Amino acid sequence: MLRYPAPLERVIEEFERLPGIGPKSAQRLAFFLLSRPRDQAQALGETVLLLHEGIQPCAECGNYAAARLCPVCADDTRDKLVLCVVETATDLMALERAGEYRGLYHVLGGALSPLAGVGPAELRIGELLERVQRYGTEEVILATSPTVEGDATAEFLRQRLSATAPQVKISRIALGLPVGADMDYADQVTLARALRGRTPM
Amino acid sequence: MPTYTATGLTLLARKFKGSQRVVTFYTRERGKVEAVASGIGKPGSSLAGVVEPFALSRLFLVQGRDLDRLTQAQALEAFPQIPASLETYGYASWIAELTSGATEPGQASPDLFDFLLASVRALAAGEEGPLVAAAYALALLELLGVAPVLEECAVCREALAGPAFYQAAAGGLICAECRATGGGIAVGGGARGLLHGLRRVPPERLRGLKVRPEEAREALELVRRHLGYHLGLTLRSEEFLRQLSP
Ligand SMILES: [Zn+2]
Ligand SMILES: [Zn+2]
Repeated sequence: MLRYPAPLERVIEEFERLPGIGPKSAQRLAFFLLSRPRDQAQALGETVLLLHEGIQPCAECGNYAAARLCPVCADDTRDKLVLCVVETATDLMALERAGEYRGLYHVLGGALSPLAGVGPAELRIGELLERVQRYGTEEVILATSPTVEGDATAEFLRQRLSATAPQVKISRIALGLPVGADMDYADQVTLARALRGRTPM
Repeated sequence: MPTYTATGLTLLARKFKGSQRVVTFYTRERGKVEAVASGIGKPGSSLAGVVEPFALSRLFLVQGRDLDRLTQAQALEAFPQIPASLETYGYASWIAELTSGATEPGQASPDLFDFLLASVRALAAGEEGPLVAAAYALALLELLGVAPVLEECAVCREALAGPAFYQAAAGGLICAECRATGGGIAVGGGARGLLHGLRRVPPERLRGLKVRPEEAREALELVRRHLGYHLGLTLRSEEFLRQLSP
């Protein structure tokens, strides 16, 4: 079988490790970079190198930050008495894009998963309880995903929060039908959840 | 491509390409089935509920060269009570992981399926996690033909009158005399009685057994050792369960 020169092979291999990139796409990307002027590859390489040096977890919420605090925590206009708990910084970004929420966040770093070896000790739960005390938080919104893992995590946090900070109002992000969904097509599990999570109007 | 239907319990799902998941089911008709489900994580996916662990569904599948493909599914039963308690969640995961690790695709066992479903239902109904897990593991070991010998000494085959010891290599409990030639951990009378009981009582009636928590733990520990030695399984959910116990 024909093999590419070693430097090209290596780049293809590295691209293949990225999520969503198969061997074909990896080859296409590598050949594209090769066909462009040298500075373009250099710029890409340097930007990737700086990624880890320039980004750190926010000292408060665990979001990606370029300084000690992330933009949300550094923003004085945010409501410091409401805390929204998410699994990952990507989830935080998704909620920010919705533009609806003006409180602070707490990034857990995942969800409880016995099969993936993620227990309470692997998540930033101690930090959450400590922040709730320090801020005098009034409401915690549990925005973990609507999965068995996310539900187990939310339930565990509810128990820990009501034990350590009984005055805090705890809510779970509403789960149910997606916007524009056809009721006919929704599965029974989703419909059952939508009914359980109904809101008065 | 041939299609087929099966009734199955979701054991686990792992990420595959993009929004695809490889889901492991244990089905009544075909035993363990691994299939690709697409579009998971996108809003409105009709398969999203099915890839969640412990869901019972009617599955519509297409046979593939490597992996089968899940085309449609109908939810039959969900167990929202399981994630509501971390212990229940941990033991249900342990049972799912054990089932996936100890079975091979294409080997159907309706008995194991029924015991699995009854165990998950029992956990959801609030039965004790360690008891349900130990009873399920004993049933599984029995169906695989490697159940621990509990009624007599596994070495000399004499009835166990006095103290008994568990030795994995011997295949079960051994008497004090046979133990003189090797190792083995002491097993109390309470735990022994419990192990006998677990073999007879269906999962939904475990509540009827009079059990002290330390006996349940001792019995489960013995079953774990037996699983480790005879099936060579290391279960990741054990670390999770260890974190829960104080
Ligand atoms: Zn922050
Ligand atoms: Zn003997």
